[in-house]
Amino acid sequence: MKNVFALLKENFENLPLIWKLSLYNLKASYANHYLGLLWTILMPAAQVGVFYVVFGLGLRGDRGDVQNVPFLVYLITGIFAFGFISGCVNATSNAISSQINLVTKMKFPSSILLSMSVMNNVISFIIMTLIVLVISLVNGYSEPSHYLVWFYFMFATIAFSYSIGLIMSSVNILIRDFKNVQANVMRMFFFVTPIFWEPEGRPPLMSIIMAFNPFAYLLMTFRNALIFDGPAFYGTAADHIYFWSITLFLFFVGVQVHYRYKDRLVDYL
Amino acid sequence: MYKVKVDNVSKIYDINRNRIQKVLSLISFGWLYKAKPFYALRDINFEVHAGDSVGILGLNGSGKTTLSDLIAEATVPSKGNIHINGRTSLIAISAGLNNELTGEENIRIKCLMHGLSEKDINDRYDDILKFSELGDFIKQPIKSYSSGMRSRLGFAIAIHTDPDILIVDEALSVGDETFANKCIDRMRDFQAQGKTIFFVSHATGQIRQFCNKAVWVQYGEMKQFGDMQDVVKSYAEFVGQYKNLTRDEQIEYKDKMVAEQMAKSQRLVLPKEKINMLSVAVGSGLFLLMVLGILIQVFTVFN
Repeated sequence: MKNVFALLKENFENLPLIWKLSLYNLKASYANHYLGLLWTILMPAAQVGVFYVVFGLGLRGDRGDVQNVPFLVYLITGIFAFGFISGCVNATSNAISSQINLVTKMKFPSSILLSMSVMNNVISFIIMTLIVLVISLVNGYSEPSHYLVWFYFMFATIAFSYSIGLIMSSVNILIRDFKNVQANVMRMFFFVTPIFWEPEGRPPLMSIIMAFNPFAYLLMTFRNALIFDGPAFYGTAADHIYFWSITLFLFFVGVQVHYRYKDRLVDYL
Repeated sequence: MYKVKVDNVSKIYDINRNRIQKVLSLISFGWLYKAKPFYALRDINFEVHAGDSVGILGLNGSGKTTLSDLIAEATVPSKGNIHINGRTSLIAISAGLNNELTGEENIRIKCLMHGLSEKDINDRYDDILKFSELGDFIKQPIKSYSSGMRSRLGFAIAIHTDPDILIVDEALSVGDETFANKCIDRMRDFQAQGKTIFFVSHATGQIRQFCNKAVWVQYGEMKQFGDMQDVVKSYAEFVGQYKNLTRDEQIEYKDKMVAEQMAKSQRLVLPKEKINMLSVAVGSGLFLLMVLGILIQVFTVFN
């Protein structure tokens, strides 16, 4: 139990450090590019451009609106949000194994590495959110007060992916095979999450899978907040309870696994 | 008052770890699995005071690097405790630098990780650059550096992060002699400031130059700790004898010692880990909560 508080305290105290180190990481990933940090804006903008050409200009035929928004907007929000969620899960799961050479020869709390990888994804996702926000504001898709639910979405996504990351970052070092398993599981989630298909008019099996899919819960929360004109929050009370009870348990298990292995991971490499 | 106190420290590696056992140990938290332990270090005891410079001597594979990693808090001992008063900084040849970033960015990132503020870093940046002798190369990514340049940068960063305890793990053997001498001068400044230095080497030359104490580790055990003169003398005697052996005898001797180290390790009984009952209780509570959450969702979906 005291590990839980230790982890929260460790991350809270090092928040400025996490922020600065993430900025450096972001810089490093575009270090050899001529356009440098501009790519953090260009990448999502280019993605929107590609989807506009394929779906917006009708190359694949008119797909009709989903609720109140064109299919193109529905698709873009899906791709951005799912990219962020799965990006967080993958980055935290590989946070320790990919950055271990930076910290093997010094005393450095390894949970900070996980927070850094979350922060990297948050920075680029904020830019994507701004693009979606502009689209939504111009077309008047969602009510402005609903935009605040975005913060709930961020909190839920970070809590969920951090919990998985705590478990998987240790497991991925102990048993390498899990990296491949995880990559395939994430690929499966890409197809059972309503990114490019709309939940209405699907076979009942699809909506049952969706109800038990935490990624779908997060994704739809994002869409409800930013583009749909329905309620601010997505889902029934049962959906919320389901998501948070799982997240809480994963977080607790994650903290235990992390604290058991964090000092010994170097020995396993 | 001691600066570093190594109290009955052992470091145990598990050399019999196959995949199934790894999984077993992971899911049963160490209860369903018998380890085959190997003592990399065994019952090391010594105490070092502020201002001491300690040489760590020993043949290859005797546990010098393990000991320095432990003192730098990069790993934790399997048994025993290490008490450290102050901040440590370890300099090793494979210093943790980011290959994609430039030298300048590495300086800033490493200093941040060592807990320096932006202002401190700006103040020290010129000193670090000057000390590393990298000049304009500082704007180049580290991957284009030679091994000497890398170790110079690593050394320059490490001594500018204000450590109370500096641990040098054979890092001077890469740079040329002028740089090594500059480092030794710098370490003398550290000595004058009353800071503690650990200096790892298998050769006695540099240890003779400026250490006042020494530890001799031999196949995981502490052979001698004390005044530098005494330890270096007996170590040099041992090395002299060892060198006089023929090559076959040398290999035979090493094999014999490692076998002995193994045999001693086999007698060891690893303490079972204690299970924290509070964590188990909270964990089971949360598990039940999760089951409840799933059941509620099942009922809502299928009604």
